[in-house]
Amino acid sequence: MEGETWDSIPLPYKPADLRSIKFYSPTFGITIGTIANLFTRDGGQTWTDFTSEEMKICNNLFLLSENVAYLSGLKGQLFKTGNGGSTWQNLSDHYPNNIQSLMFINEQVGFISSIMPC
Amino acid sequence: MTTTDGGFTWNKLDYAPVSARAICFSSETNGIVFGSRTYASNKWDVWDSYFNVMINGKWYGDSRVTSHIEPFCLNAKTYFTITRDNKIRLSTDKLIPADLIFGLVLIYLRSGCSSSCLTGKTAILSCPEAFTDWIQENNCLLNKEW
Repeated sequence: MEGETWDSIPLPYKPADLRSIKFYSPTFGITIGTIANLFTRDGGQTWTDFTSEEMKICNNLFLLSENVAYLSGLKGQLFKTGNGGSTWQNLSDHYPNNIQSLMFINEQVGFISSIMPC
Repeated sequence: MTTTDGGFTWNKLDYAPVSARAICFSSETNGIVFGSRTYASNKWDVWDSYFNVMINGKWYGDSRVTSHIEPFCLNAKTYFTITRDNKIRLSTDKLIPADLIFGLVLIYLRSGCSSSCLTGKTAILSCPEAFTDWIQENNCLLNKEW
C-alpha cells in the first residue's frame, strides 16, 4: 500500500515552520513557511531556498506544471515562476489581503478567493 | 476574482460565494468553491463547510458539506474532505452531465448521505459508512450510465 512507510528528509532550516507543501509531480515540489520558501526538483532529496525580502510570509501556492507555479503573500502579492522556482516574478501587489486559495487552469486564466471582500 | 491575462489584472466574479476557502475550476466557467461559515442550531452554532458550483458561468448550490474543514482539491475532478463523523471520503472520475447535478444532490440527500459535493462533471460523496456498501451494491449514482 502506498504511503504505508515514510522517510524523513532533513530541511535546511530548523524549525522550518512550514505552512504548506505541494508537489506537481514526484520530483517538483514547493513548500512555504514563515522562515523560508523552498523548492525541490528531485522529489525532496534537496531543497533550494528562493525566499526574497518581498516574498516573506507567503500563505498559498499552486503548481500548474513542471515549471510554472504561483505564490500568494499575506500582504496581497502574487508571484509566478516559469522555471521551476529558480526565479520569481511579482505579478502585482494590490490584491486583497489574506488570499485563501488560488488556482490557474492555464497560464492565462486563474482564480483567487479571499475571505475579505474583493 | 479571475484573471484572463496571466494574473496582471483581475476582475470580480459576479455572485461568487463569500468567504471561499478552496476553489477548483476546470475551465473559465465551470468550477467549485468551498467555503465555511457558522450555521445556527438549536443547541449551539456549528462551523461548517459549504460549496457552490459554477456551471457554464452560473452559480448553483450553497450546499452544506458537514465537514469542519474545507475540502482539498486534488484536481478539477477530485476532492477530499473529512466529515464531522470522520467517515469516508468517496470520489469518482465518472463524468456526469451538468444538467443532472441537482437531481443527484436530491437523490444523494434523500438516500441518507451526510453530504455530497458535485461539480459539472464529477461527483463525490461523503456518507455514513453504511452507505458505502449500499452505494457499491446498487452502483449508486456513481457508475450508472446517464
